[in-house]
Amino acid sequence: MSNIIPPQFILLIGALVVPFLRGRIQQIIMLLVPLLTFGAYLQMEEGVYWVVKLLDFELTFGRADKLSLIFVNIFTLVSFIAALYNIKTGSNLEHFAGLLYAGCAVGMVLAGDLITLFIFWEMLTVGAVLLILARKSSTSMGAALRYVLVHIVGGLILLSGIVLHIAEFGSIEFNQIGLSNRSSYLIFIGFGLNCAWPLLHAWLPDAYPEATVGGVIYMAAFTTKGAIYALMRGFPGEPSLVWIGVAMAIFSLFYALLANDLRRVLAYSIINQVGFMVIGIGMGTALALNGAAAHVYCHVLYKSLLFMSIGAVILQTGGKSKITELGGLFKSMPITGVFCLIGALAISTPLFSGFVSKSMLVSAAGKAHLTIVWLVLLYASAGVFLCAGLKVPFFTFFSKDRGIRVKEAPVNMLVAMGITALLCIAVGMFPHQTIYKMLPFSMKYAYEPYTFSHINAQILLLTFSILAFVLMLLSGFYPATKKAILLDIDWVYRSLSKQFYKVMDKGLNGLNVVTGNLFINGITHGVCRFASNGAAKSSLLVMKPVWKMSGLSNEDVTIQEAQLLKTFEKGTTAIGIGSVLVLITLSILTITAIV
Amino acid sequence: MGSSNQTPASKGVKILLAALFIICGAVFLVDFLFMLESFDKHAIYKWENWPGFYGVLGFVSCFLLVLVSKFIIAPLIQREENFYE
Repeated sequence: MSNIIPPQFILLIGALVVPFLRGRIQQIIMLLVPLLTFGAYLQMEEGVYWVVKLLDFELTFGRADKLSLIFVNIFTLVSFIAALYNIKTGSNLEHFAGLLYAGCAVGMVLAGDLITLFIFWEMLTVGAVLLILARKSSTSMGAALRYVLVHIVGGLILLSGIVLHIAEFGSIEFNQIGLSNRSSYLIFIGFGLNCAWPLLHAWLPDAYPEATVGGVIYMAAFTTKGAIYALMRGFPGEPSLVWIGVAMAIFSLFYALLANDLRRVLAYSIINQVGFMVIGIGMGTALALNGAAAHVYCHVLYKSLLFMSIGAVILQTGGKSKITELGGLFKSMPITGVFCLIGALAISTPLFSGFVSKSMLVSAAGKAHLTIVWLVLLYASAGVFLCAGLKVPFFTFFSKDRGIRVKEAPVNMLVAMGITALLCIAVGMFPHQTIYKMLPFSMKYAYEPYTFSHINAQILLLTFSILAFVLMLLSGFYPATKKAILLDIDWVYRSLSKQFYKVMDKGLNGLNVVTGNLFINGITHGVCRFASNGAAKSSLLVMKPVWKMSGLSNEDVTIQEAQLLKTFEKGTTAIGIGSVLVLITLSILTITAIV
Repeated sequence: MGSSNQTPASKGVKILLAALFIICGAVFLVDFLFMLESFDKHAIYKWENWPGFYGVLGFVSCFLLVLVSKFIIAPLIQREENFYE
């Protein structure tokens, strides 16, 4: 058992090696690394592998059970697809960051303890940030910085929770935690930030559209789904998760509907779909948890496909990613267009992947008699189909032809998209032979998505969503996509930080000026002036009345004054008078000091 | 602020529209089959048995989503592209 190479280390070693290779060898190794990882995954049976003793702790790098293995499967699969997609156009930085990111994601889901989990959890952020920075634009630099700052805060919250948890229980094991005490709340929030819970979510739609076209495939697959794994392991059946998920599924749709940047539309629809999974974890029944796990698998597949097709459009059109810039591309990029349509259909259409997983969650809500949740899931199913499924392909490949004539996507990208599209269809058509075999929790009865009534219900829901879309579009009621941005919770740290900067700028620099005027221009200058002409002034103070009393005219006094000042300037005062004046000056200084 | 929504009205589009209306009508009619005893809807809630329930739900959901987005959410959150610059 232990002679299997840990899959995460194959990816991590690959990450270190690939940037040093060139040409065809680099391409072969890039594909070989995820394939070898998948090979290692296939050899893994349920059990505990690779336990390393560190100080007093036993770190477990390989806890293989059904829950972790389904995640390893999809993470490895998507890292192969992303590598294939990136093989020609990606930079060395992207190759390194992508494999590092994938290695950490696999490492995180295989971690058997909280310390190992945390190490890989934090390294995920490194991979993601590098993939944003690899875009090398000023906006991506800003987004990367915000990503780092938000995830550092999240990481610290998680770390403090883990430290408190270890202090309280004396164990680093990562199993069900449940919300009970302070440490568990901190861990819960730490997981929630990566899961893009409402108010903690803004990093996702801020950063994903700024990443490279290939990098975003990794990002869409790993960070939020890793958090779903952690919640599924640590907090299954936590009731508050149901309502957090409901909020995610609702609010994200408004943003997805209004967003102009296509990858931002997809980013908000990720939050929507992760909301489905969070609801499933919150419900906590075997059907719901299995539905959440299955939905992770299916969602990663179709969202990768959508991101890949839009990425190909961005690449071929020289960076155009906004609805207001695109349209009518089906003539130029028909194959990419078909793959985008398959990705859109796979969101929830029968015979495609999303249908077989999402319907488990809807059924679980119905069986638990959570009526509001059930209705929200149906509303969100129709809504996400409208916002992402119809909007993305329609405004990119159809709609108004803006006369953009470009070449079809490169072959490697088409093959990557083709494999993903096939997987979407295969999982959708044969769920019992594919994902249902990998489900982590045992159920009394096997779930059957393909009943006549269920298929008809879903087709009704979707066809009438299409009808609503078409009628609103024809009547001009569908909101025109504007060249605009949408304010989100990141406004708090983006705008308020500017205001904070302004306040600090005005406040601290103002204080600086006042202090400068008082001490440097005021007191110091005064002391300098007194030191340089204090003796002359004090002499005048004494001599002027003496001259006036001795009967000199005003003119003579002025002449005497000028002479006295000149004498001091030249330092030629008579010693007798000089010593008297020094005495007077010192006396005045002493009196001033005493007073 | 440019508008990108266009309503293409070529022959192909008209055929597609007609196909959509026919499909919607057909699916809606199929739902009436479940009023027969030999077809079971496995309904959990009684309103699932109303013919066309899911269709109405899908249509109304999409309509409400657009309505709220357009008139309530957009004025609140939509800003010029250079807002943060």
